[in-house]
Amino acid sequence: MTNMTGAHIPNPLVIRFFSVLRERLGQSEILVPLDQPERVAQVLDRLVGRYPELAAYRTSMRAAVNMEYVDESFTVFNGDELAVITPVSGG
Amino acid sequence: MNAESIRIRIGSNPLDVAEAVAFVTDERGGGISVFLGTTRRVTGDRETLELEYDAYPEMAASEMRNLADRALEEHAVLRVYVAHRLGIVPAGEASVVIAVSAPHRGEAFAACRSLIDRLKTQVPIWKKEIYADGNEEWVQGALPEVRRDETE
Repeated sequence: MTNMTGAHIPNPLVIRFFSVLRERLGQSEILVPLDQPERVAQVLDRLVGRYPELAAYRTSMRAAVNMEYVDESFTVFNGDELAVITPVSGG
Repeated sequence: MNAESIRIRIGSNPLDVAEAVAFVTDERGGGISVFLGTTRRVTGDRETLELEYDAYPEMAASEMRNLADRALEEHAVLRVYVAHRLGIVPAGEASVVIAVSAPHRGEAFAACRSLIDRLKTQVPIWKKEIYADGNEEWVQGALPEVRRDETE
């Protein structure tokens, strides 16, 4: 994608939310352009800093990056999709 | 590839148990095990009106397929069908159907059990209890495991 001056900017990190987090936040998705690749732990810490309504759920979050569950040491890049998963209850 | 031995369905239409049984029916099979997860109306002293299911649909479908692949690898089963309903599921109705066919009933039962147990801990689907008294709450179940060989 390009900005108004024609400069190329990368696709951002896409963060997706479901169930209780989506309700708390009032959004199902936010876009976060990364200045550099970042570990999941830092992305989630920044997220709850920016959105304190999610802080109570921080210790029960699991990240899924491009549809694979990952540890918080995993590195994400612009263009990745990071889904913030809370304890699941299907079935 | 196990693609033709597996069918996964996820969506808001009511479940089709007849389709599940028809899909797993195989002339090499000696038994079909079917599990239905249903919405319990009464739990202790609370009454549930309905459940509402939310999902990360693309990943739920791929995780359900992964579970079915594992079932085919770990048990001597023939065909697997897994369907989960999303949105509102009224009390008394089914939210998930799993059907498995196998040459022998032991493996059909074992694989079916394993599939539902794993679905409940690994698939990105969430249920919200909507109680008769007007209260609502998202059920916090199990945090999915990270598969070690998939991460850097």
